[in-house]
Amino acid sequence: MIVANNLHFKQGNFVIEDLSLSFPKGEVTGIVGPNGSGKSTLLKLISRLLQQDSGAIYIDDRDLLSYKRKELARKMAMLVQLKEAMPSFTVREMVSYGRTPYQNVISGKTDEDQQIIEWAMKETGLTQLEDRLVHSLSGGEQQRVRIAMALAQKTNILLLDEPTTYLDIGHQVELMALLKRINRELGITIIMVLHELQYAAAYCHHMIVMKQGKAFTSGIPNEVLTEDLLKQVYEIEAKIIYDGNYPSIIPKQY
Amino acid sequence: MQKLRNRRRWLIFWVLLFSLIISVYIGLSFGAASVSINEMIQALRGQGDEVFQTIVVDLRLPRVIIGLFVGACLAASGAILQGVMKNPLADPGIIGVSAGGGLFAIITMLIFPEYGYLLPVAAFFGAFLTTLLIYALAWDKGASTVKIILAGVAMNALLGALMNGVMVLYSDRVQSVLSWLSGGLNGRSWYHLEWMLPYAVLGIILCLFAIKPANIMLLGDDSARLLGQNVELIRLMLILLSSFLAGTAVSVGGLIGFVGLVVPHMIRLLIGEDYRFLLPLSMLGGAALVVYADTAARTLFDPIELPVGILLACLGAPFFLYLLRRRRMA
Repeated sequence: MIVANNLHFKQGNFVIEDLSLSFPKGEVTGIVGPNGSGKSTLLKLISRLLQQDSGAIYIDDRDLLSYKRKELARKMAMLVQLKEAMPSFTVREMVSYGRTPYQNVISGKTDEDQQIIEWAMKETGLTQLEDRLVHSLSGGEQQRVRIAMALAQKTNILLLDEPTTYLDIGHQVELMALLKRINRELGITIIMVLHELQYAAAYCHHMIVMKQGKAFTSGIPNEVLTEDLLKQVYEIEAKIIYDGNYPSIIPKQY
Repeated sequence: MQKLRNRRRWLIFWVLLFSLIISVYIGLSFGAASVSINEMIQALRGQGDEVFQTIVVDLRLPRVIIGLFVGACLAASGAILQGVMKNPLADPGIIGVSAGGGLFAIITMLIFPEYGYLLPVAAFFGAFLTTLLIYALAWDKGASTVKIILAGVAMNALLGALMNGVMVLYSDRVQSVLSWLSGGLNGRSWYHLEWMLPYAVLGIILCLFAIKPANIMLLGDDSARLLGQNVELIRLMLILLSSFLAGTAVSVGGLIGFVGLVVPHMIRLLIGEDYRFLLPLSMLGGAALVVYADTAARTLFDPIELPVGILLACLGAPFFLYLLRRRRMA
């Protein structure tokens, strides 16, 4: 269970104001909201890439700031937004770096490390690609490599910052299905920032809508995602049609 | 695929090792008096003509070994610096790191000659302070390629001026410094090797510990943090190590530029940026390059000896311009 209490944070244009939230354990939570609403900032606060000015975050009833670096890296993995080019490592080498929190500067890989690396590649369907160079893979395959690396960290919590950006729709759906399976079969708590409201609604158990640094609302996706919400948060007039859990959003200006 | 990559790495390893051995051979053999391989082996065993023994064992051998270490240190320093600064154009000679070491070394030589044995330490501190200063000057939520180069070139100019200033003030003692300044191995003897060796060996051993952190840093700052790494500490340690290596090389070899730029760059193009291979292969390549260049520098215009730094600058500067151009195109 992850709980945030009265978070305040300000850095340039990125502001979080008096944010209190909880993320259910073992479920998939989607954080959505317009650009600049503070979704990525919130994720960085949870992962301690940024530190709040005041307020506190608790992971399993323990203050986030009290975790040691490596201890935290065994508890929580995160896929940051892809900005830099991938180095010239093979898939296997890249996934191996997921074991870093369990090693020191000189220690080599143990048998356990090797087994976990094999397992992580198998779970993400990368076994066939293990000797390929990461930067020679497609965007979707690269994301799978990063997920495998996170799995090799053997954490209970996985954070993802806009994992579907730059992917075509085929790879997007494949990725969301993979994440759903990871959550269901491995029981890993997933929290992700998403741009696509449809995916948030269809693949998440829990949805948080951010607006101007605050949680506008949260709850079960098909109760949260309404035509009213689109008007108030995204300032568009649109119709929502559900097919099962999957919503179609049709703007009125269209 | 993986096999092919490993084969390639080994191939390059053997090619570099072979060219290193050849460089040692021609370094010992070529010169005003040329020495045949039989005479060389005899001399190394302490047999044969005493003139050859003096030439090979007392004059050329220490110079060749110093060249090997200077080259290895410079190339390793460049390889690490390029990684830390995320900048393939970072070279201790271009961005003023060597000049920082040089200034402190000159001050030691001219003002405190009685502390000559501390020369490597002084050069290290000069190099380290300069690196930190460049990094701080270029820092603005991350240090960009261009800013580092600009700050570095400015520092290089300033440090050059300071060196000249010190030399003018102590012009009566300046003769010994001049040849050192242009980067030469002229007159380097067993004595110089002896006091450089501990620093060089320590630096090269420390490189082994730098491999894993340097590789993790390739994943990006945030990713390294998320793997439980203390990114600021790693970066500081790598900068320290890079300065230590540059300082060691500068204290004996003077201002030799471009080795730290050219060699790691070529190796990276050939085998990628994985430091497990990049670092050792760069050391081999740097060692061989400096010995080749030094041998060429002392034989090309016989009887006049060019400082090896000048020769390397003539080779390296066009290469640097070529890289700059290529980057702009990309």
